[in-house]
Amino acid sequence: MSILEVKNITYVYGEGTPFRIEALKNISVTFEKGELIAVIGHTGSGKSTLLMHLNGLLKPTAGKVLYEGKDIWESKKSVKQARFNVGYCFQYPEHQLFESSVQRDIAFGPRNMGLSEEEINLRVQEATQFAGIDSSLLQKSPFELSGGEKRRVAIAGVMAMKPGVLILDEPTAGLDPKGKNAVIELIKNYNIQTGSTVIFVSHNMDDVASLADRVLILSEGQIVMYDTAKNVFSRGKQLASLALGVPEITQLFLSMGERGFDLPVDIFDIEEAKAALLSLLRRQAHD
Amino acid sequence: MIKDITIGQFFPGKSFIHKLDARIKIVLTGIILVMIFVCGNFYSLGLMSAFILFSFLLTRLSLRLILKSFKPLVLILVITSLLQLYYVDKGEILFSWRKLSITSGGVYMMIFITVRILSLILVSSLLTYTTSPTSLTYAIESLLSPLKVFKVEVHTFAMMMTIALRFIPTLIEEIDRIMNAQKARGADFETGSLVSRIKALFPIFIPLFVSSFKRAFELADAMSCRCYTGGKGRTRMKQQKTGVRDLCAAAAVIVLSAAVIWLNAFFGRVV
Repeated sequence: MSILEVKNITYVYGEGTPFRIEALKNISVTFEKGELIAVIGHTGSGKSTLLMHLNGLLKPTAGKVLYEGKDIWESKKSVKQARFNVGYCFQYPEHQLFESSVQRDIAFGPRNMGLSEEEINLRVQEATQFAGIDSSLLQKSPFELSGGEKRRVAIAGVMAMKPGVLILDEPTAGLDPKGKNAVIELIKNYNIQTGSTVIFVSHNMDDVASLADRVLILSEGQIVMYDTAKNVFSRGKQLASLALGVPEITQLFLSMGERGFDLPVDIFDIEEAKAALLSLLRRQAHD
Repeated sequence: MIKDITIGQFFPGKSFIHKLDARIKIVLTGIILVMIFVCGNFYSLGLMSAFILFSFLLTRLSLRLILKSFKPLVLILVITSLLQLYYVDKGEILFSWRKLSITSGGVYMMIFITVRILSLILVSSLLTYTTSPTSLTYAIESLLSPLKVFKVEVHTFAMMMTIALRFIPTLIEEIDRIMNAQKARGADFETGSLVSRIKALFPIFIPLFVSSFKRAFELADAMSCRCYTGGKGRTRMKQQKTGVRDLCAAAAVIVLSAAVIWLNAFFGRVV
């Protein structure tokens, strides 16, 4: 079942100035309930612009955004509701922290929703659990935490609103490997346990391969591909022509294929790679 | 919303006005600003605004920019012109209602003041629209250099201005980003009582201050890493030269000023 639907949206920045840019060109796309979707494309391809339309931060110059079949721009109230239905976690979200304690910062979103104090506390508890934040940190100032912790607190602040769709813009950018893995784990867990749709932007193809059910590729404000991760990564050459990479394992299989080994090209997972290599070795032993 | 502010913005171009030496441009803008106040009747003011409009056309910037630069000042304009209409009590009475009366002198005054304010705004935005912030501060440094005699740190002052100007767009972008992030968490900046609106600013300004301080320290480090020690012995990559073009512009402004003074004397001052 589709949860979010984008219908023929076009968005223009700086209309009427010498800096006019058409950031999105007549885009239509549907996001299914419970899926984990990766959005890729290089800088300026319109990723952030598209995502900012999904919770009504930007109003399309033309076209419609539907949440559960309803136009989010129907009324003032529906736009505000869209902000809570579709949680948006910006790039470097730790820059949005401002409260005197971690607990209060996470509670900011739920408080804006007008929930009861009890419900707010419950949500903060839940969100900190999802984000793997130690309860001893709750009373600390968010500015005292490490980079990875700050990031998780900021993500928890969005999760606490329990959005039906969670958007994360480059959630792992600028983190060390440990912080990165923690964030990837929490995205996966959140998606599985709550059944919410998760949309994330990433430049790391290995992250995309390990997380995403579906991959959306944007280039120059248009959708180039929107397919399962397997189908997308099997088109390695086309990805290269868009100046996008493929996961390291896929790269390895592609290069081996070029050197004459008879291997499948749509592999991006260690287990599958192992199976494919073993079967190749067995075939060669037979010959 | 916040991106609509065009005052102080620079629009690159290759026109005659763009190419003028920034120092000359500043001085001439100053003269024109003074001359706008010297204008005493509709003839001289008309000539003045025609000249300014002509200069704007020379820049080949979109005419919509003029309207945009007026936008933030519409309220001030409306209030001043209404006050003029009410206070000036000269000429024949056109309309009266109880104690209020509108005279022909009042209407003239209203039009005069409006045109004057619009000219002032237009000519000063013309300077910033067509001059890059860097050449603007270099020009200010160069114009202020006589103050070195009094041990004023002109270079430091100019550097501070350059940095401040350079970071305006960055700060605007940052505010935009933080506002979006907080809006995404349901923050509301547009409705509610005055107190709640002021409270709503905290989630923007605290992160903004934190990142500004961080950025300032980083910038200072980066500058020391590149051996910045102040103005002593510093030379410039792009030297500004005064040429024929600048002489022409200066001559035009001098002729204009003379014409304004003559028109004032010939037709008499209304104001």
